[in-house]
Amino acid sequence: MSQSSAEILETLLRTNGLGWMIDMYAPKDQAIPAYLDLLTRLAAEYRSRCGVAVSFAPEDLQAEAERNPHKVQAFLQLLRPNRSPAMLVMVWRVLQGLSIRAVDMNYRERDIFRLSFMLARPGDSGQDQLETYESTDISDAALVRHLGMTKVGGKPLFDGFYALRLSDQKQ
Amino acid sequence: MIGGKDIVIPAVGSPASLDACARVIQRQWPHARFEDAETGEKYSSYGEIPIGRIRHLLAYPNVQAEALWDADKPDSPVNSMLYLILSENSVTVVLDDPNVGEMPAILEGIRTMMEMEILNTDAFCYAEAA
Repeated sequence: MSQSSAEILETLLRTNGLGWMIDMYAPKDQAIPAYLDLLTRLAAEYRSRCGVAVSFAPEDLQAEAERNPHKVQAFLQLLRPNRSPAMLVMVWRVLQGLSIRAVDMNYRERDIFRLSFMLARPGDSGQDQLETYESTDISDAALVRHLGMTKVGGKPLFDGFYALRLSDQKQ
Repeated sequence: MIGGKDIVIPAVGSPASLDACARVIQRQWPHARFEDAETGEKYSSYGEIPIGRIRHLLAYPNVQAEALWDADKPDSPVNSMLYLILSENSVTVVLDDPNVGEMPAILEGIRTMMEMEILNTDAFCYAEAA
């Protein structure tokens, strides 16, 4: 872990209204290492699933934030040390333009939780092009509140992931 | 041709709003091409657009339509380019004819996306407020 990466990540989190992700972590001085570890695991998961290398290093997230600050803010809001890297890959794929073809959530009190997303490139209709992401961790239900939700022609549509607008932050 | 109609849609003037518009266009035009109307920089897909830097965005349904516009052909088909202008309280869609082709679906999509709660409602951050 380089000092500069840690500093960049802390700055990214704090400037996006997410300082609490550091300050409420116990022990606090382990927060940034935990998030850096998650970003490293995320990059490996992305390469494994998508066959291409994408860096989630803080320096690269900072560069992306200069191009697409709203996407990086949405992504950062979804970081948690225990978040499934596969679900974060899914979020990133949607932010890059994939369509959400299906979402299934199944919950039984004190029994089971299952959340799955099926993605595809816009315009692709073949089943072989679908990407499936699954989680059995109920904390991943938090992803759902960041979905763009609307109706088109009276039909339901999930489209995109968006940052929650923080009340003290002008968007 | 272009410039027949200006459709003003109330919206929060944020990058996220312009992003949602671009996603609507991509959904209707899967091979859409985009261009920064102020700099002329071109983007071959939605994922390439640096939306945080753009307030005036051109969209073409495909590479052929883009080429016709680049060649300044007077016979470019109706609605073969969209011009989005992000303002503080609205998105303006400049187009030829709002009733032709995919345009009704695009306009409805933009209107409904601009009404999404997540673009318009502040979340209360308990941890920051504590």
